[in-house]
Amino acid sequence: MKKSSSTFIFLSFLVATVATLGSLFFSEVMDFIPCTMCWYQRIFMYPLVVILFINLLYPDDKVFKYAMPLVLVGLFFAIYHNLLMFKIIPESVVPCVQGVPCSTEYFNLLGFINIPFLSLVSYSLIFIFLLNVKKGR
Amino acid sequence: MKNKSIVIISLFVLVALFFLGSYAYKNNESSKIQKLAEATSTSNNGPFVRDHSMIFGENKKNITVVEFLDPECEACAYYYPSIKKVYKEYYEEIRLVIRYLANHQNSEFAVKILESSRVQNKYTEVLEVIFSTQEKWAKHGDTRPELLWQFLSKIEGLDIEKLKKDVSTIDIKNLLSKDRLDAAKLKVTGTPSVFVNGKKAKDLSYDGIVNLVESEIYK
Repeated sequence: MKKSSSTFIFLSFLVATVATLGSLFFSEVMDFIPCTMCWYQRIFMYPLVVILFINLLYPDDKVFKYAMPLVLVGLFFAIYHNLLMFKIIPESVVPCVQGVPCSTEYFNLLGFINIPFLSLVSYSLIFIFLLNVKKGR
Repeated sequence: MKNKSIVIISLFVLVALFFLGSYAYKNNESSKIQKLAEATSTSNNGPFVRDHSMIFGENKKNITVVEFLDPECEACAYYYPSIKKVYKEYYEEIRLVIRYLANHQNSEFAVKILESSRVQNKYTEVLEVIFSTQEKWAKHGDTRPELLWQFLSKIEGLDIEKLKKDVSTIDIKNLLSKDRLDAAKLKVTGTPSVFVNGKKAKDLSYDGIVNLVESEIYK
């Protein structure tokens, strides 16, 4: 395995870990209740931390295969959720039945940085890093 | 080998940051609420106590115990004996304030009954019946709040017809929305939540509350 690709795996790992701990901070420390969409994005983000961590300790050249499907599904939910937050898709089609509506905005920095946006950024970064892992091989 | 240690160290650093951040955030939050409690300890203008709130106790030691509850919440019913025991032992020293956070389907109806019972001076008795029969009238997926009338009619000295009439006319919208806003201000998201002079009880047991009360008495 080339050196550059392990750097990109490391960067992906860092982003996934920050995203995981960050989402836990929002829900467990700040007591924001995660909506359904947020849960789906969490489900596909958390295992990335473990998969990438193990790969960094015991490198093989197949990590792209294991990690990319998770990223793609998570990215799909993140894009969908962001379209929702920016009102491109109306709330009525959201599969949120009970609890917190997925268009609830817990905080907003600079007019566009909210939690789903952070999720989208994380998934996009990991997506790009993993493409580089594939290319660098 | 060197790379591996960087990986492990960075994981460790991130997790440590997470815990430090959590600790700092929680500390900051609870000191904010604590300050709010000190600033409002003598007034009934919220966020802990409102003029409309049901208040028990003689409050000789100036200790305000606030419970946010929901008549249809199972944990509240389960918790009720503990808070009752605390009150029984400390009713001279403390005042117990009841606030609502109506989060269930029939919570509003039950709060209406509770508030209506106040003119007949039967609040405690009604609350006790509401909690002790909760599993019958608030069964999951099959709530039958009308059963409450039958249970309540067994309370001695309670004029059930008057209560029914009062429930049909009482307006609690304002009261509930004020309680909800105060709860949000105090970061209360669930019930039961208990504050003792602004300190949020982390251990919701009889001992947990007693410890907080005692530490206020012997401050």
